[in-house]
Amino acid sequence: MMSLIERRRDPFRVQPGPQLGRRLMRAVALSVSTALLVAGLSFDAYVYFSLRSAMADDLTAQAHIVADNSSAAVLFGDSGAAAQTLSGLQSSEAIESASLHDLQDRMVAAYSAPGLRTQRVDAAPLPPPLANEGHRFAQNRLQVRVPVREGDRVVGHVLLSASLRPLYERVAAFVAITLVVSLVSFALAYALAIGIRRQIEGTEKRLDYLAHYDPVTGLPNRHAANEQIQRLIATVGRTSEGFGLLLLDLDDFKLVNDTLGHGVGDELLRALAGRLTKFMRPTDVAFRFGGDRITNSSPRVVDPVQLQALANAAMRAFDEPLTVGAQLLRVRGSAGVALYPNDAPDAASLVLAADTAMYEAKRMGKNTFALFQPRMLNDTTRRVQLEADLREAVSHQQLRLLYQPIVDLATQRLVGVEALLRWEHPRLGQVSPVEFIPIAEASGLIVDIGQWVLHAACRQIRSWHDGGQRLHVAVNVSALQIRRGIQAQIDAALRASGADPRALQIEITEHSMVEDLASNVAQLEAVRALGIQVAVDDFGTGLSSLAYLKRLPIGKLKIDRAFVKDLPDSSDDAAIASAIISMAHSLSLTVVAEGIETAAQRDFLATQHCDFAQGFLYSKPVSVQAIDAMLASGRVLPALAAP
Amino acid sequence: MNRLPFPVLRLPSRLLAALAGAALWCAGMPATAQGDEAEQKATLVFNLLLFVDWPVDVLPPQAPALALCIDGASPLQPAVKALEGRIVRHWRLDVRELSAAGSWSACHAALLDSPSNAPVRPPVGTLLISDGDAAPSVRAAVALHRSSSRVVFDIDLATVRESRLQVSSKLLRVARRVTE
Repeated sequence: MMSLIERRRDPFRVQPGPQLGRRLMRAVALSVSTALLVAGLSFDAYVYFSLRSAMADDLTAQAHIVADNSSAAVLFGDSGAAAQTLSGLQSSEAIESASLHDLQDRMVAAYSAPGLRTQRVDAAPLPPPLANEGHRFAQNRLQVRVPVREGDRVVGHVLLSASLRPLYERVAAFVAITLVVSLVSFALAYALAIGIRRQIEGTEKRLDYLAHYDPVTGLPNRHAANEQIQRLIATVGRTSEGFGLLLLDLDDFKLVNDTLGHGVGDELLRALAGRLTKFMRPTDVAFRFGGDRITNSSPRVVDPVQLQALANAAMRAFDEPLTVGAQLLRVRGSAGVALYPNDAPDAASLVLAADTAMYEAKRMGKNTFALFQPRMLNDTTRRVQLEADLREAVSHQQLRLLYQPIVDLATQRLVGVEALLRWEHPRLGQVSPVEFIPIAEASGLIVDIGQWVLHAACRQIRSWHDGGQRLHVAVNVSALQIRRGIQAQIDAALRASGADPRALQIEITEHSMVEDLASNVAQLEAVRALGIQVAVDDFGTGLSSLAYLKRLPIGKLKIDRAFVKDLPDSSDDAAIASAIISMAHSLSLTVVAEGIETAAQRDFLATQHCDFAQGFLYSKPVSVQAIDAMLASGRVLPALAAP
Repeated sequence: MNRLPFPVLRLPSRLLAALAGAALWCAGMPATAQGDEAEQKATLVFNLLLFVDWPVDVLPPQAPALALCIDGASPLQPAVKALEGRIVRHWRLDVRELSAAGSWSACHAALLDSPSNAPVRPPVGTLLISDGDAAPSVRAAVALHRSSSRVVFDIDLATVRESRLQVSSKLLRVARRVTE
């Protein structure tokens, strides 16, 4: 499984430019060392010329000392004394030869360095002696000529010649040190640069991985998905005629996260990713598109038949339960598929198309898939528009409540009403709650709207109460409202209206109870403490088990219209309805049957001792004025509809 | 010459003096093979004077001349006389007759070649130079000797000190013998 995922990663592993990096590294190391070398050699050159200059100064100074000490010897032609003076030069290694001359340029005495007398033959030819005072560098020698004076009188001159060899040796040593230092620095800089380069490469790879992969599932991420879509778009018209995009969203994934923990949720996604990859073609690539969404790009899918096959393959991933840790989890998902270029002209539109189809699948009842149809976009557009308009509906007083009577089956008297929300859209007219309630739920607007409903219902309770009528009003409450603190909302509505809490009932669906049961129970306990009755709406259609009934602080069950519709002819439904009523009674709950349209249904339920009834048989949802009229006529409601 | 008022005239005068001096110097160089002994000795005497310091009261730097006395009958006299007018450091060399000098104080240096001319004690301020070959018994500060083809000299430091003179150590180094 992992190998399949691994295989699919490859297209997104961005190859770093090692060549460029290495060349940069070498260039840096080389330039540093070259700079060091140039600086070192410049320094060596400076040292060379400084030493040369110092040597010329030294030799001239020595020549002056010799000249000063040998003036008498030159003057008196005393070769012995002159030679003795010159022999003092032995202490200077560099001096090869020296000579003293009188004014006629006759040599009074000469000196040769001890080791040199025998080496003369190999040595370089001596340059001609200097004709004038001063010094000269010639043929690897430094020559100095200095006059011998006695008082103001010049009596002769001294010639010194020194080898530049010691100078060259010292400078050569400097150059060697410079080269060695440069080489060592280059090696160190190179080693350091390699280390840094490795770190950078490691970091780059990690960043690249994080940029393109989802660390939880190991799947390429949304960024990679967008890149892949662009890449596939580029192939269309050249190597392919189109491709398909599948967007898969897990149903009730939040439930898994909330009840089993995020760790299990992540594990589930990983397992599902592996499962999905197994059912896909090798060229298909699955991406984690964020949250519980997985997208799959399928190259060379060109018609709806292939697209359908693709969706079927994806849905097979849900056939078997997934093993997550020690438990088996059965998950459901909804998928939307769209084709490029048939369904969308660009990447963003293609994702939107798949997304739209996926939502369509969810609306169709989840755990299924939908192929994109252009009309879905219109639906989406309408939904977006409705959501925008709905934000203004409350403040623009476009919402109103209708009330459907609830009748005591034993007495056929009107005992209460269910408040039902209606939206009069300024342009579109009546918008069905079936359409706008899910939008309000999804957008969170349901909290504000629910608050408005509670306030309006409480005002109505108060109004009837003031008119001397005791009538309970049932209000539907959404899961989001409960999570946001239903007790505070009810408190606010009761306080604002001064309504009697005992006349207010709230209806919750089984489904809204499933998430975070403990917190919901606490909320509902608080509500019931106010004297408000809590009813479970649409009982029998949700996922809840009977165990919930025991834990929830409820006083009433509403049998869903699905079980009432075929009464009394359907023996199954009759059995279910009877069982619910009998079970509710044994739990001390009262029972309301919804959707009663015929007298036969009414009679059957009455024989089963169902407590209350609601439906078109008595009245459709009507205005306050109509309810007032019913109250005025003595509360006994005749059957309106024909059996 | 130093008193010439115009600097313009000084340069040629100096040049002339230098040329004249150089010519005379060349004529008086220590001869190795040729030139006669008298000339060698005269040149040596002249060179000796370069390395001797007289007391300032005897021969101040501003004095016009340095007097070198020699017996008029001396065989060296012509050669010494030829040095007349040459410059010894600050002074012009004045060659005088020993008999005409009158006293030792008139002679800053004296070349003696006969015991008859020699003083009993070395006079103060006078450098006594003896021709050791002609008068070996004369006690002098510097004694000249012929040695093969060269003329060498010995220095008697006791006499030098008695005469209140100072001799440069350079001279001592080139002397054949130095006695205390």
